[in-house]
Amino acid sequence: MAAGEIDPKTANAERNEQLKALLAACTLKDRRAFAQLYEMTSAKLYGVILRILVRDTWAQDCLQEAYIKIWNSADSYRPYLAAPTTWMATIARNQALDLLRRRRREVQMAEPEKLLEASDSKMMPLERLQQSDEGRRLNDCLERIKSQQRQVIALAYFKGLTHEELASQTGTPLGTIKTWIRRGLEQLKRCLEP
Amino acid sequence: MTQQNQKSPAPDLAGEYVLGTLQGERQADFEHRLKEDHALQAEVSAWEQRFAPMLEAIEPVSPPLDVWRNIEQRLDPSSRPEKMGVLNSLGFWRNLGLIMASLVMVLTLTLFGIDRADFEMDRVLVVMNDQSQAGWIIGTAGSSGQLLVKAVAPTRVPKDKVCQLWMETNDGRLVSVGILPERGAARMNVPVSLRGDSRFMISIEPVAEIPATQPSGEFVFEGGLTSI
Repeated sequence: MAAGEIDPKTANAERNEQLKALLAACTLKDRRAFAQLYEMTSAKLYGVILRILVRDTWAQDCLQEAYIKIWNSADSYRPYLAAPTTWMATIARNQALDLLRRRRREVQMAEPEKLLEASDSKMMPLERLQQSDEGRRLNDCLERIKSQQRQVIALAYFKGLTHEELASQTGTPLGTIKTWIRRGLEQLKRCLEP
Repeated sequence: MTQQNQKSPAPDLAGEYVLGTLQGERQADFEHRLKEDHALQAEVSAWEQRFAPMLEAIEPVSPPLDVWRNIEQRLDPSSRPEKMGVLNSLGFWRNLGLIMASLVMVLTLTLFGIDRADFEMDRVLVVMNDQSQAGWIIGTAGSSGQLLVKAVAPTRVPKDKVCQLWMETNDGRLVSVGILPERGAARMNVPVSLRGDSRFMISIEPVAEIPATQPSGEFVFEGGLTSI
């Protein structure tokens, strides 16, 4: 690497350290630190929520809820278990899935065939997975599992569909859905082992 | 173990929990176990990490400025503009739903806690406990000459023992800062001038004989502040 160039890994590690310190300050109810945390992470979290909810008015309400939750539960963040961005993105995803499940009845679901098609291309940001080492590994492993398994995993992960909903939405027997998910997860875990 | 027949493998509960397909009673049972079971917590965390690149890969989108303003207003009801009288209207609460209403209540309760401190940190230190987890968070605010200490998961000590916080002066002398709280938050006065590179140490001491100049045994933690 050329002198003076900033190694993206180092930059990322530094950013993570800063986010950890900001979260620590949030447990002490430091509002300025919270504002800074929001500034550094809100676009990321809004992207995640928007991907799940699609509708922007819901996504904005949900983003609010996610940050209130982050503020209130900053002291339950465990640095040895997860990177700060993963912890926050998980809160955002869970918040969005909760809202989506509550409002499921209001949402017109797409036709089954279209849903399966859409699940691969739209929901899995596969091309962008290539941008990090972890992403490339996950992408390689996802490509190794059968496309149907990959699709139901994507639908569950990004749309919060239950086994029963996956079965009815994709027109697949419930037992098959359960098997696809079990196999998919098992293969993914094995493939991602260090 | 390597059979490749039609039999479905046993469900990976942590994996299904993170994926979101664990629902109803199975989810409730799992969450109940999760509270106490550290191995299970680590499994859940490992699954979150496995899927994390999918969230990481999503293109960031800047949210409208309103969102931050609303968050600020919810954290600090006193700064809420007049037109937010809408809060009193029934429709607002209906739309908001019970879940958020209870969140607001929790929030209001915490506002009577240390929220009022209005303490803006410029440096923090995460003090590890005996399990190498965040035990206390210590924050400093510039010229205040005070530390704000919050107990997160303090090191468990016998009833007759306490955790004592120490600081090193510029000339390498040790001074006692105070006793770390077992729960809640506390403010402590810093006995010497605080610097960015100040070092902090923790020792475990008998309540009956708290030392003033040096710890009775070895330090169980040592660390410095991180600027934010």
